[in-house]
Amino acid sequence: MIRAALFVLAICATPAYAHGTLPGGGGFYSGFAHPFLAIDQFLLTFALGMTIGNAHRTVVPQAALCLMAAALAGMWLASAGIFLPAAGYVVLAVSAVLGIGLAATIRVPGSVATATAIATGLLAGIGTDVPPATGGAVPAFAAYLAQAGVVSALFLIAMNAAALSAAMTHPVLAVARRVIGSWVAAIAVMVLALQLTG
Amino acid sequence: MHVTPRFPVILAALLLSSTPALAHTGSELGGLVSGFMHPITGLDHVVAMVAVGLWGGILGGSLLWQLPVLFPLVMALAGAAGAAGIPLPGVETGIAFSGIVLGLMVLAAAQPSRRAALALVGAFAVFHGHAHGAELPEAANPLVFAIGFVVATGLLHLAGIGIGMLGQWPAGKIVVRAAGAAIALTGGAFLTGMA
Repeated sequence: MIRAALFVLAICATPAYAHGTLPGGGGFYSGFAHPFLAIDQFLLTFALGMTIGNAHRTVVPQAALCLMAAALAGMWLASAGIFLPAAGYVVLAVSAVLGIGLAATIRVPGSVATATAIATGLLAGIGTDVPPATGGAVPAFAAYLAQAGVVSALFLIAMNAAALSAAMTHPVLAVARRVIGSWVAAIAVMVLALQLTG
Repeated sequence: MHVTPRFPVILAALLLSSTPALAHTGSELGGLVSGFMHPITGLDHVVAMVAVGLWGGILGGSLLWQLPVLFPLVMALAGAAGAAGIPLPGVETGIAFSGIVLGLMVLAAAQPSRRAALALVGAFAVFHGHAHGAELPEAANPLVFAIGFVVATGLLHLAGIGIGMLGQWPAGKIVVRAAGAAIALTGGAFLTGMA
């Protein structure tokens, strides 16, 4: 009986589609994956999260909202054909500054954290090549889902880093935060120099 | 389910003839691994990085973290110069000297002033950074390569700090000093071309 069942199952088998069965899910996932795959944006968002996590507790929700709103604004600007010149350099330069700030354990004031979150969101949004929701080649629904994916990923990266940074209250962990900051700064400075001279 | 005697044979044949499933073969991962392996596969780099952590462990206090924080920052600036093609004479000699000097510092459990210790480690970071930076332009993705080697460098420092922690026990002190001697000898071997 089992053999017969296995035989029937074997001849009726169809290819397994593990990805993309949910309509629109692919668009969301594609947008969600972007901030993780664009390593420079990941580095900047991570450094932002670590910085705001080290700031006053009230700064975090405000900065998170600004990050998401600015990312959406950045994507809309990009879809309107407005790009920031030398955005790649700015991403690395801001990452380097945030890294040095972390290494020096500078607790940024709320206004600076908010401004940095807006800058990060704009840079990430403009740098994300999400097609405009025109209803043309890409249906509006799929484009909105992709934008939602980008914003969700940025939020998750920044908030995870912020939570990690805020939890580093033990002296040893505070040292680890400094070390991570120095790593971020080192990576950003070297690649920035390479891009500027290359 | 009844399993026939041939089932293990078939399973073994399938396992032996299987090929790896390569679902993701992005160059980013390759670049990350390549960057990570760069400091680890060079013994001259390894001994110096471990020596920085070891010496930090001996010096203690704020220098325990200041040396590993200073090193990548200075290394980045020198790496930028290397990536930009700015020449630095005697890079390999400087790297070999870093092993000798830092190894001797560990061996002697030297306790110079904070500024002297930072200046010495910072000076040696210039040579290591320049050597790494010169490799950057050849990397497919310089950013992930840089992430790999900065993280590897930091982990080597951490390994040194870990060994340095053994110094809290009398027998551990001997291990730490022996490690310092081994590092100095390795640096000497590189300087004289024996390694």
